[in-house]
Amino acid sequence: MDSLSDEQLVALTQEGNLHAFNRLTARWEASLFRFALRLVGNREDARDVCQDALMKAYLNIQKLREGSKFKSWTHHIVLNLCRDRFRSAGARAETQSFEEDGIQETRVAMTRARKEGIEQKAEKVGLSRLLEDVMGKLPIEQRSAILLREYHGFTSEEIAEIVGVPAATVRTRIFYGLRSVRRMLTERGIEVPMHS
Amino acid sequence: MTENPLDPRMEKLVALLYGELPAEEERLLRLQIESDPALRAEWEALGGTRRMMQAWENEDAPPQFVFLQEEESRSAETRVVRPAMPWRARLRGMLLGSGWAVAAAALVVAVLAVNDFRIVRQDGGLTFRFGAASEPVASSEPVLSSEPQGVPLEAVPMEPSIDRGGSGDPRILQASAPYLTREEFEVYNEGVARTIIGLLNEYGRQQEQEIAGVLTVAFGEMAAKHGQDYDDLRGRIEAIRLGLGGEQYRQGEQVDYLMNQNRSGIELPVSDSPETETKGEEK
Repeated sequence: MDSLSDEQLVALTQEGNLHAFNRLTARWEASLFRFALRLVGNREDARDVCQDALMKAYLNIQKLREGSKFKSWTHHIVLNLCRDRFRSAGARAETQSFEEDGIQETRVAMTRARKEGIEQKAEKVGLSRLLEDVMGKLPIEQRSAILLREYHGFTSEEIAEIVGVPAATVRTRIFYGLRSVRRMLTERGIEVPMHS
Repeated sequence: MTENPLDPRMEKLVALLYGELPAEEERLLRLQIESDPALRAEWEALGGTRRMMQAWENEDAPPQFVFLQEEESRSAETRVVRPAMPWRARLRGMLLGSGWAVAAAALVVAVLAVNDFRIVRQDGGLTFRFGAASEPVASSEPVLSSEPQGVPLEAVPMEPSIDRGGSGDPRILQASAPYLTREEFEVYNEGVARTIIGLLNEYGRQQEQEIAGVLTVAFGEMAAKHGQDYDDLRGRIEAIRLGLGGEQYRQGEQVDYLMNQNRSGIELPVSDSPETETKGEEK
């Protein structure tokens, strides 16, 4: 069953083969979990989101017309569940008001950086933690676009299908997101090298 | 969220960054980057930031999700591992949850007590003994040595030993009494266990008889109470019935009697009507 494609496994699942769905789960659970983890920021919530997402996927598998898009579809479910969590918890209230031109977010980031001490912060946490922190302050649209493109190997077209916007919009979000990351890192005293 | 208008070249930069641009468009854009310093600056900044993003590690091992068939999930539910309990809670649960355990322990203690079981601390070791305690050495008898009598405990420092009594002289007893071997001890344990089982069985029989007796008495009392309740209820119903219709019944009977008397030519007595009586009572 390992050699079967997503499309074939989805077809088997739609016929009631639970083992086929378990194969799909085993194939994509790591990617789904890491995506959820990078979105919600903690392991417990990420695990819950993944569990819910896989359950939703299983219960609605009959609605999936193109089995080859199982990966995109499940990532889409994870993204929606994370959005719901942010909405219900209001956890990202402060960052949701960020404007994409970067003016307001830079102001907020500068205020924070002054409070915490740029140098101390940079020394205290590693670059990985700093990136996690900075990414966590991006609006979820930018964050999810960067995550899916950068860490999960989706093309802009695939991300467009997942989030339901044109591919050009996805690329625009990635552009603004990366620019915001650069600005926030600079505010925290991290010199981002130029790369050609 | 509103998407602000963006220089279309910036979006193309992202496409170029991830290798999503067709060859011809890529060539044209690279020419623009070469010729436009602002565009080149954006391009280099984007590339540098993307490179830095690689430093965001995510080493957490993902959990594994497995969907179970209904019957599998049911059997999995039955295999729920109970959380470890602290020993105090476990002991409390044993004591409270199992009366048999308490009864067995009490019986063991009782049997040991009947057999005069005792633990004697002797020269740093412990000795388990059954039978009556040895008589203290008479002060008149000469004490030959201050050293302990019998087999030196160094040879068998913590092995359980036993003397069965029977000898009058405690000194000789101590000197000659063999230590209880493990086999003997196990045989004795078996005997104790048999006794305990017999007692428990007897206890169970007695308990069953007591329960049967209690149930019989309870049933008898319940039946008696039921009969009494039935009589009470019947009496009340009768009283209510009489209270509702008895008066009319009695008056009707009297009228019938008087009418019969009248037919036979006897002069009717002047009787008060019920209304008059009632009014008279009210007054």
